[in-house]
Amino acid sequence: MYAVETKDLTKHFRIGLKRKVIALDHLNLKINEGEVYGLLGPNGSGKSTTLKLILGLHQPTEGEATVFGRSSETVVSRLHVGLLPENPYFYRYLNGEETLRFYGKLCRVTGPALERKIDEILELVGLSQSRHRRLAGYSKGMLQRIGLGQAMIHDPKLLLLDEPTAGVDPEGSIDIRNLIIKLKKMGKTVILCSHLLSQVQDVCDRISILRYGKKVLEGNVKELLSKKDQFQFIASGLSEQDKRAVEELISRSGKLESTSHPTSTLEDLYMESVGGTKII
Amino acid sequence: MSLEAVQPMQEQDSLSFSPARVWVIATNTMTEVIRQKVLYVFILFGLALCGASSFFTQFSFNEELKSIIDTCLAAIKLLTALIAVVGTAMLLPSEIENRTIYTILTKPVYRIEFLLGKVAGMSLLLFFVTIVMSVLFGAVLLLDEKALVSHALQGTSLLQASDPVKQTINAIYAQTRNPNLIKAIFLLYAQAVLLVSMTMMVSTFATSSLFSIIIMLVIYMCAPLATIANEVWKSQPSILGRVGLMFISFCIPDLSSMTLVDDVVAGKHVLMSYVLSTTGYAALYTLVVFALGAFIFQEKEL
Ligand SMILES: Nc1ncnc2c1ncn2[C@@H]1O[C@H](COP(=O)(O)OP(=O)(O)OP(=O)(O)O)[C@@H](O)[C@H]1O
Ligand SMILES: [Mg+2]
Repeated sequence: MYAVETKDLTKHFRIGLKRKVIALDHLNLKINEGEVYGLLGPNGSGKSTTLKLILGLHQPTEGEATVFGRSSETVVSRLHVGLLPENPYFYRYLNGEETLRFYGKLCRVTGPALERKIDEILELVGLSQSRHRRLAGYSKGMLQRIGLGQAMIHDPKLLLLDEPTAGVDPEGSIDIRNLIIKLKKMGKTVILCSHLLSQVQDVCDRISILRYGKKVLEGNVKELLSKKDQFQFIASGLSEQDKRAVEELISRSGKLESTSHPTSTLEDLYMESVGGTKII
Repeated sequence: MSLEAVQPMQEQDSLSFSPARVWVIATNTMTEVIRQKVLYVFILFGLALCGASSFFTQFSFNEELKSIIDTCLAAIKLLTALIAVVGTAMLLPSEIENRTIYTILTKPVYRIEFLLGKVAGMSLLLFFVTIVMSVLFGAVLLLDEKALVSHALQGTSLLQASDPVKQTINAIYAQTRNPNLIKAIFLLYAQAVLLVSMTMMVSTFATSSLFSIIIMLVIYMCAPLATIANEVWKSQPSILGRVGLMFISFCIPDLSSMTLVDDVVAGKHVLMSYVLSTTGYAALYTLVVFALGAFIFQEKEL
């Protein structure tokens, strides 16, 4: 069973009476349990729409999405899912702790277990100091952090994170990256939409790149980034003499440290796939 | 720091409707309205109105009490209706604008639970508003009663009072300790709940809170039409006329049956059977409108 599977998932938005936007066009994804999956693509390419369809916030125009084998249109499919929406805003009149308590109770986490969980999560997202402040006074990055907290309050098996690091300071960004790695170690499935390619490269097992609602590239990050037809040698302790004839001499006078395929950066790959895309 | 499981994960195949979740949303809705502080302005306004009414001393005790009752009941009627419509109209649009609705509906929460929680929270809040205003109203009435009675007695005690004075005092009591007042306030509350449900239904398809408020204003102003339609549809000769009037009385609630301010001020007696049947009507109307709203909300693209 896949954590998330989409079959020809398509979404049109009507704008005005006649025109429509094709936000998502026959998208097929199979995301395994325990995988960290990255969704990339230019602005307006359909990443957030995909997440909303997976969570049943939109109804698909065509196709379907399932979460742990259950149709996205059912409420039971949401039992083990947590979402951090893009640019999250929460109830301004609640403080950090009350926000988590509210979402926890909605998920039927109650009593001392909930209080323990709240402490734990506030610590985890680095908001212990601001737990009694109203969210009206939170900065963008703090809202992002509390958003991440509420997504995890009921200990879901699948987390959907829409640009989790937007507006978060560099240290917080690294914290979030480490958190994702930790979640993966715990066997959680994470779907990550992000424009921070270096971070995606670090944490994701597989990625797909969307363009105009279509998948233009999908694959294992390591495989995608390695250049199979080329080799790279890292050598040290080479004499001046041998350096000149290095290709033949490495194994004779130098010590061969490693051989591997050189990798490009995700940025290169991304620009190759969707560079120059106009936003429609 | 570890992320341990809160409870053993159970594979559930179904999720039943949960009153507990409705309650969580309802209390949160109350917190929302209370912490926005708009409510205080409304309540202060009501308090001021009731308070001020006790300063209008009239020619006769009868006139004086009537004016107090009139002002206070009118204040309760206006305030509850205003809070019901304006407060409810803001709820959904602000949820959507702040995207809080996304985080709620992506938790295992049925949409109908969400909507019910909102309506219940608002109704509960109005209940407290009504109680607060009624207590104040009662206090104003009792103070005035005391003043009027002691004025009528003019220093003598009740036992020594002459028959005309006793009659006057009884007449004062008849005005101030009138059970019809409570019935009237109860029906005003029923009206407020109906308005909450109806505004919520409108806001499931409205594009903004202003839109809902205006629609509700139109409905509120057309309410007398429903009363007329209710009375005359049976006597219409043509089928078309009958259906048309039935349609009107279906679409527009008969609010005037729930606002007895004038009748009570005029001293009319309100029968218990009337209260019951009107409450039944209000409850049924509230339920049907809510069901319609829930149906629209279920299909709504967020
Ligand atoms: N509610 C809506 N009504 C109309 N059009 C919409 C709606 N939501 C999304 N769209 C359109 O669908 C397309 C995909 O949007 P989406 O939000 O999924 O993009 P995205 O990949 O998340 O972009 P970004 O990187 O900017 O977050 C866009 O063209 C957008 O204008
Ligand atoms: Mg987006």
